[in-house]
Amino acid sequence: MNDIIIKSITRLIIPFIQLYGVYIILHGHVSPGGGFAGGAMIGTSLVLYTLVFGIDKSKQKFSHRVSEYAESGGILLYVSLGLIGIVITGSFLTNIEAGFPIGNPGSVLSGGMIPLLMVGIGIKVASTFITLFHTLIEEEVV
Amino acid sequence: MITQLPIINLLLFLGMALIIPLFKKRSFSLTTNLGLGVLFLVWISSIVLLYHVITEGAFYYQLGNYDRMLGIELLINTFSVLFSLFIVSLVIIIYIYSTGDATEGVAEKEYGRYYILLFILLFAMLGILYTNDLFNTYVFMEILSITTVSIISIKRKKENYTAAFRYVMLNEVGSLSYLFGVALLYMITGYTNIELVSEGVQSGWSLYPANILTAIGFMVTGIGIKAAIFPFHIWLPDAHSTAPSSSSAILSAVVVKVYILIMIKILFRVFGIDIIQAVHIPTVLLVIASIGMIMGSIFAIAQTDVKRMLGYSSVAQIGYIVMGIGMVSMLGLQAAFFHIFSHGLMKAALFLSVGAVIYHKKIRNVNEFDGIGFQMPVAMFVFSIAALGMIGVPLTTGFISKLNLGLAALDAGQVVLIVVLIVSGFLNALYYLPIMISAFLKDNKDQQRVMRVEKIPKTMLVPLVVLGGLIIAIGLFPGELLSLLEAAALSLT
Amino acid sequence: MGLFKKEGKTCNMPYVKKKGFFGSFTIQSSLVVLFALVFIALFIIGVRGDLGILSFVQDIYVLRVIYDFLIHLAILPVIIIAFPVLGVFGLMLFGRNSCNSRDMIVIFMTLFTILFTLFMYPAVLEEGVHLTIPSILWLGISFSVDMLGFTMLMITSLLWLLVMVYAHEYMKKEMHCNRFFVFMGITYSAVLGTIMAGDLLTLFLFFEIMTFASYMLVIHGQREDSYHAGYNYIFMGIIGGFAILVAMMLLYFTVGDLAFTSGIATLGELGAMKYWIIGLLVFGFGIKAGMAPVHVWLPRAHPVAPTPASALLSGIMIKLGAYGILRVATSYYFPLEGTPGGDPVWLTTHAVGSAIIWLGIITMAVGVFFALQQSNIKRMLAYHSISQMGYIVMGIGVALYLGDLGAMGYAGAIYHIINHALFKSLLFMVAGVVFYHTGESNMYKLGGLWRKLPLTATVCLIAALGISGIPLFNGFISKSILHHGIVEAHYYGHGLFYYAELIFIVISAGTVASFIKLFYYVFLRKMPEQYKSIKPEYNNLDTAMAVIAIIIVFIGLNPRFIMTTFIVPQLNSMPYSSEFVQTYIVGLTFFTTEDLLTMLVVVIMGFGIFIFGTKFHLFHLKIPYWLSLEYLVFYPMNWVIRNACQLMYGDECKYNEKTLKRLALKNNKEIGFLDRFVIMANVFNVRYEGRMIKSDAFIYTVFITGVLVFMLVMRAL
Repeated sequence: MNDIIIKSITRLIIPFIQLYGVYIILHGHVSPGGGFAGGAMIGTSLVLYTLVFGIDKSKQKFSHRVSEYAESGGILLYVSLGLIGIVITGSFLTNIEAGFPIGNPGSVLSGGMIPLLMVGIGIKVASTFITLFHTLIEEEVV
Repeated sequence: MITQLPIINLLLFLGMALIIPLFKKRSFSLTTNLGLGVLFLVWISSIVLLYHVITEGAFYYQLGNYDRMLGIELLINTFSVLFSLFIVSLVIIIYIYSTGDATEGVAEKEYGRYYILLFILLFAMLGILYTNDLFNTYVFMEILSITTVSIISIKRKKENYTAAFRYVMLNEVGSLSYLFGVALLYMITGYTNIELVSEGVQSGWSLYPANILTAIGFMVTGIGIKAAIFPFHIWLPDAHSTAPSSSSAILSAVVVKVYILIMIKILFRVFGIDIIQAVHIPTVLLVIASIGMIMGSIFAIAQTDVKRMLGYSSVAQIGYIVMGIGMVSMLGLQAAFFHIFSHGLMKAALFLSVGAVIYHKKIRNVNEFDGIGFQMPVAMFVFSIAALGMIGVPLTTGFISKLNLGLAALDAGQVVLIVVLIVSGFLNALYYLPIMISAFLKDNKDQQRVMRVEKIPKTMLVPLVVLGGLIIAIGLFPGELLSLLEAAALSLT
Repeated sequence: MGLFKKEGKTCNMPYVKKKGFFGSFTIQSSLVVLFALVFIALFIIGVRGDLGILSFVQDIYVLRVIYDFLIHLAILPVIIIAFPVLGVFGLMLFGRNSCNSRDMIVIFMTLFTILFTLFMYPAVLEEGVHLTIPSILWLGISFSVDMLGFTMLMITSLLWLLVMVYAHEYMKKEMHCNRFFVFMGITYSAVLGTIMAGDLLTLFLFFEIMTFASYMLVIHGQREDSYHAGYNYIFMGIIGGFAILVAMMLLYFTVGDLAFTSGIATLGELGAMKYWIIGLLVFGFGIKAGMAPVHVWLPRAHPVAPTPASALLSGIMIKLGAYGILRVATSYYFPLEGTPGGDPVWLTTHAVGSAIIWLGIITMAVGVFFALQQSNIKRMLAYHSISQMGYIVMGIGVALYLGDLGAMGYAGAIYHIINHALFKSLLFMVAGVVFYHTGESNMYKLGGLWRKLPLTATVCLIAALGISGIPLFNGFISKSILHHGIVEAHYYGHGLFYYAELIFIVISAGTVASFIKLFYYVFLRKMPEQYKSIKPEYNNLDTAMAVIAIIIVFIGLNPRFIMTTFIVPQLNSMPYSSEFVQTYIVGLTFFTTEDLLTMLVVVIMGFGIFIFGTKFHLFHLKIPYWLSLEYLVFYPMNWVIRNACQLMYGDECKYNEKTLKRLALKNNKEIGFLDRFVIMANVFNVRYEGRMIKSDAFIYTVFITGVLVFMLVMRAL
C-alpha cells in the first residue's frame, strides 16, 4: 500500500498496540486476557505492518529465523519453568511450593510463576500469528 | 527420581520437537542422530519404569502438586507403561527406516518439519497413555489429530490434501463427540479426573441413567471414528495410502491403537464392567467388530493399489481387537492387547516393505508385483512373513493372537465369533497370497532370475529384518509378553 | 530330443560321463541304497534278538558304548527333524555348482535320516520316545513316537531316499532344480515332524509348514495350469488348517490338554461338542487325505507337479491326512487301556467310526469311477490314490466302529498305508519314466512300450498286480485284512455294512479293470510310429524302481514280517482286547481259500468291466458342469447378491451384464469358485466403496442414533 496517510498512521500506532499487548500479557493473572490474548495483539500489530509496508520489509524485520527462535524459545521457557518445579519439589509446574514469590493477590507482582509463563506464551503466540500470515500470503495455490 | 520419569519422557519429546528448528539448517544428520538418542533415552526410561511398576506397583503423579480435584494427574501403571514401551519401540524402528529417505515424495526442505511433527506426535501419544484426566485426554487427542493430519499432507499433492481434509473433518466430529461425552460426565459428577468421575458415575447411575447412557454412546462413537472401527473407517484407506510410507506405518501400527486404548480406559475404568453390560455396549461392539472383520477384507480383495489394500486390511484387524474388547473378560482383554502388539509389528513390517518396493521400483499396483521377489528379496521376504502372520500360520505372532482370541471367545461363550475369526483369516489369505506368489514365482519384464540383495540404504533394510525377526521370535516365545499383558489387563480393573 | 525347451537354469550341466553301462553317480547312489536296506534289515533283526547280532554288538566295548549312546539320545526327534534342514543349508551352500554334488548331499541327508530313525527303534519297542519342549508357541510342543509313528517314519524315510535317487535323473529335464530340492527338504522335515508329534499343536504346526512347503513343489512347473492347481491346493490346505485350528481351540477349551492321551472321560460328557470336534478334525485332515467330497485338489495337483513330487505327494503326504485322523481318533476318542468291551464309553467311538466307514466307502467309489474315465496317466493314478485312501479311511472307521474288537481294521489300515505308499509311488515313477522318454502322458496315444522299456514294463506289472490285490504281491495282504475288517463290521455290528462289503468288492474289481486298461494301452498294443527311436538307458530311474518292486514282492511273499515287526506291537499298546489280537491277528493265516476265491471273483469281474467298457465306450464320460461342486455352492450366493442389488437399485443394477460379459469372455465353465468370489468382491467394491466414502456424515448420524436408541430400548426391557 503506497498511501502516505496510512503509512504514517501505522508507524505511529504500532508501538502503542504492542505496548497494550504487553500490558495484557503482564496482567494476565490479574485481569482478563493473559498470554494468548496479549500475544494475539502483538501479532496483529505485526500483521498490520505487513499489510501496510509489504511483505519484504516485514520479512526483514521479522525473519523466519527470528520466528523459529521465538516459537521454540517460548515453549522452552515454559518447559524450563516447569522443570524448576521438578528439581525443587518433585512435581512438574509447581507454583508456590517451588518458591516463586507469591506476593499479594491482586497486584501485578504476584501469582508466582504465572506471569513468566504468560511471557513465554505471549511470545510464542505472536510469532505464530505472524508466521501463519506470512505463509498464507506467500503460498501459491497448488 | 523414578517417579519423575514419565514427565521427563514427555518433556524430552517436546523439547526435541522444539530444538529441531534451531538445528536443521546446520546439519540434518545431527538432527536425526539427536532424535535417535532421545528416542533411546525414552525407551530405556520406559523399561526402567516398567520394572519399577511391576515390582512396586502403580503410582500417581500430580502436575503442580495440586490435588486431583483441581489439577492434572498422571497414572503410571502396567497398562500405560507397557503400551508406551510398545509405542516407543515401534517408532524407533520406523524412525530408523524413515531416515533412509523413505519419505517418498516429500520435498527436501520438509524433512525437518516431518520430524518435528513426529516428535509432537509421540509427545501426544505418551500423554494420552499416561494421563488420568478426561479433558487432558481430549487436549492430547486434538494435538494428535492435528499432527497426524500434517504428517499425511506433508506430501504436497492434491490427493493428500483431499485425504487429509476428510480425515480432519471426521476426526473433528469424533473429538467433539468425545468432548460432548466428557461434558455430560462433568455435568453428572462435577470432575474430570478418571477416579473421581468413576466414583461419581457409580453413584449417579441410578439417578441419571439416561445421561450416562448418552455419554457412553457419544464417547464410543467418537472414539470409534478415530479408531477406524467399521462403519467409520472411511477415512482410513485414503489417508494411509496417500501418506508417505513411514507415516502410513506409524498411523496404522501405532496411532490407531492409541485411540482403542482410550476406549478401553473409558469403558473399563470410568464406567466399569457392570454399567457397560447393563447398557449392552458389548453386543454393539461385537456386532460391528464382526461386520468390520469381514467387510474390511472384502473391500481389500478388490483394491489395486497395494497401500489401500493394506489400509483396508488394518480395518479388518482392528475389528479383531474390538472383538476382544467386546467380550468383556480378562481373557478377551488379554487377547486384544496381544493382537495390538502383534498387529502393530506385522502392519509396520508390511507398510515398510511395501514402502521399500515403492522407493526402489516405483510400483504401487498389485498386478505389477510379478517377479519383484528376485529384485528385492529382503523386502518381499519380510512381506511374506508378515502376510503369513496375518493369515494365521503357526510360527508367527498372528497365529498366537488368533489362538488367544479363539479361546477367549469360547470362554465368553460366543462360538459364532470363532467362525467369523476363521472366515476373516481365510479372506486375508485371498488377498495376501496372490502378491506373495506373483512376487516370487512369476516372471517380470526384465527376466532377471538371479536373487541379489537390493540396493536400498541400510537404514531401510535393517528395520525390515528386525521386524521380521521379531514377528517370528514373538511367535515362538510369546510367554513373557503374555504374562506382562495379563498384568496390564489386571491393572485396569 | 527337442521335447523340452531349455530356458533358464536347467540341470544339464556338463559333467564327465564315464563310458560304460553305468555312470558313476548311478553306482554311488545304488550303493547307498543297498547299504541302507542292509543296515535296516540287520538292525531290526538284530534288535529283535534273532541271529545273535545284538549280543555280538554288546560284546565289543566300543560298539556297545556307541550303541547305548545313540539309542538313549533324548533329543533324537529334534535331530531327525533338523537333519533335512541342515541338508538344505548344505545344498544351498555347496550345491550351486554341480548337480552331482548337490544330489549327493541330498541322498546322504536322506540316508542319515533313515539311520537316525532306526536308532529310535529299541526305545520305541519299550515305551516310546517322548520329548517335551515347553514354552515354545505358548503351549509348548512335544514329540512322542510310538510304534505307529515309527512305522510311518520308516516307510517315509525309505521311500524318500528312493525318490531322491529317482529325482536326480528325472530333474535333469526340469528347471529350477535347486529350488525344488530346497523345498523338498523343508517338506521332508515337516513330514517327519508331523509324524513324530506328541500333541495336536505340534501336529498342526508341522502340518501347516508341510502344506506351504509342498505348495512350492506343486507349482514347480510354473505353467498356467500349475498356477490354477496351486491355488486350489493351497486354499484347500488353508481351509483344512483352519478346521483343525478350530477343533484344537475347542479341544483345549474343553479338555484342557492337547496331548495325545485319552480324553474320552471329559469328552463323553460334552454332548454335541464332541461330534463337532471330531467332525472338524476329520474334515481338516480329510482335505489332505483326499477324502470325498473335498478331494478336488488331488486330480489337479498331481498331473502338474513333477513326478518325484507327485510320487511323494501321493505316497506320503496324503497318508499324513489319514495318519492325522487315525491319531486323533484313537487318542482322544478311545478310553484308557484295559477298559472292558461293554463299557458305555465306547459308544461315541461307535458313532464316529460308522460315519468314517461310510465316508471311506464313498471315497472309494468316487475315486474308481472317475479313474476309469481318465486318459491322462497321472490323473488316473491320482484318482486311484483317492480310491485307495478310501480303503484306508474305511479301515480306520472299522477300527473305531468295532470298539475293542476293531484291531483288524486298524491293522488293515496301517498295512495298506505301507503298501499303498510303495506301489503308488512306483506307479508314479513308471508314469514319469514314460513321460521322460516319450514326452506323452495320454495313455491312448501310447503303446507297445514293453519292447523299448522292458524293466519299466515289468516293474509296472508288479505294481499293478500289487494294487489290484493279486496273491503273492503285497496288495493282496492288506486288501484281505481290510475285507476281513468290513466283514467283521457287518458281523459284529450293524447289518447295513453288508452293502458296504459288496461295494468294496465291486470297487476292487474296478481297480483291476483300470489297471488292465493302463497296462494294455501303454505297454502292450501296437506302438505308434514316433516312439520307435527311443533308446533304453539304465540309470537311477531304474535303480529306484527296481528296489521298490523288490520290496513289494518281498512283502507279498512274507506278510508276517511286517505284521509282527510293526503292527502287532502297536496293537498291543492300544486298548484293543488282547485275546482278539492274539487269535485273529497274530494267528492270521494269509492265504486262506476264502480270500483266494474272493480275489478270483474280483479279477474275473475286473476283466469283465474292462471288456464291457471298451466295447461300449464307457470310459469317456464327462459329468455336466452344472453338477460340479463349485457351481452348486456358488449359485445360491450369486442369486442372493443379484436379487439384493435389484431390490436396492432397481433398474440401475448393472451387476448382471457387466460381470457376466466378463465371465463369458473367459469361458464360464473354467472359472473356479474362488475366482468368482473375487470378481464378486470387485463388483461390490466398485459399486459401494465410493458411495460409502461420500456418505460419512450420514453414516455417523445413523449410527449414533441407532446406538442410543438401542441402548434405551435395551434398558427399558
